[in-house]
Amino acid sequence: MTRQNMASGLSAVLALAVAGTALAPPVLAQGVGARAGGSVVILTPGGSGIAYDVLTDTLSGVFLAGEQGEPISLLLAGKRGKRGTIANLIPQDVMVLSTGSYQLDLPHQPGEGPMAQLPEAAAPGELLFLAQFN
Amino acid sequence: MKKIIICLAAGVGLLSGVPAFAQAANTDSDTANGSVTIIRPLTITKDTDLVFGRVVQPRTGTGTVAIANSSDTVTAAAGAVALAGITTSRAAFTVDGEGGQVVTVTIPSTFNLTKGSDSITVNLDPDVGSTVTLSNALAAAGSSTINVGGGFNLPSTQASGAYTGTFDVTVAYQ
Repeated sequence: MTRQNMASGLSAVLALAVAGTALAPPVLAQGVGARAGGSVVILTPGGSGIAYDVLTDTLSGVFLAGEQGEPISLLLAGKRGKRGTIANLIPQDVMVLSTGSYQLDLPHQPGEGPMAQLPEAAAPGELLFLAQFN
Repeated sequence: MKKIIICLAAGVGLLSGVPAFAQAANTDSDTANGSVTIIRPLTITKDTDLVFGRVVQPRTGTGTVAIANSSDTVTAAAGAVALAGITTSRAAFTVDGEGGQVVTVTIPSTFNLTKGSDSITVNLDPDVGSTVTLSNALAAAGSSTINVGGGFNLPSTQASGAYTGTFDVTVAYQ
């Protein structure tokens, strides 16, 4: 190796060292993180309705719509006490929907009169069927 | 070859004599100070998740669902209904480190709740800006709490079911 080559090599080394010092990236503070979970349960709107026969003045059924497996509290305010009245035909308790749409039929039994007949003295507005989606 | 060696020897002798003259003629000194500030490592811990609970979608149109960053209560409007009976919460994090230090906070503006191929985009609402200052002063432990609320639109066409997702919060010393 000649002296010229040695000088050239030394210059190259010095140049790299200087360049390395000048171009070194700044040291950044190391970040730390944490992860949070998010969740929501979207439900379809629940609803209820009744099937009422104006000709026979009878209630033939009630309908419920909601989420499968949803518990619903049922309440019927109307004629009570006698066997075969509306209050006895609709469960006044908590039930669980087996499907998204559920129907409770109130069949008419021949020979026993209209089983789901409204109270005679009651106006239509006095019948209350309440389904509360819990 | 012999001449070269002689020349080098003479050169070395000449060079070695020079520093002796320089030291004697010009001596000086100065003092540099050394310092370092040791700070505690920074940590962030998730305290609670962002839980919206059970929400009934509107029959028509698009409802809104939100949790403020100052409350754990879900607010639903425009046809959407938030059901009671389940614990809901905003997301909360605790940052621990050196007291009085400024910390950079990185929180995404949105994240997705998904259920299979269905998705809900949640807009996040943190109660801090891009930085927070830890409590107390240098040489003492400091901390800060980050609360993150959020909200989303809920159209009547959204598929029902349980949606889940995650988002990351990152902190670093400035």
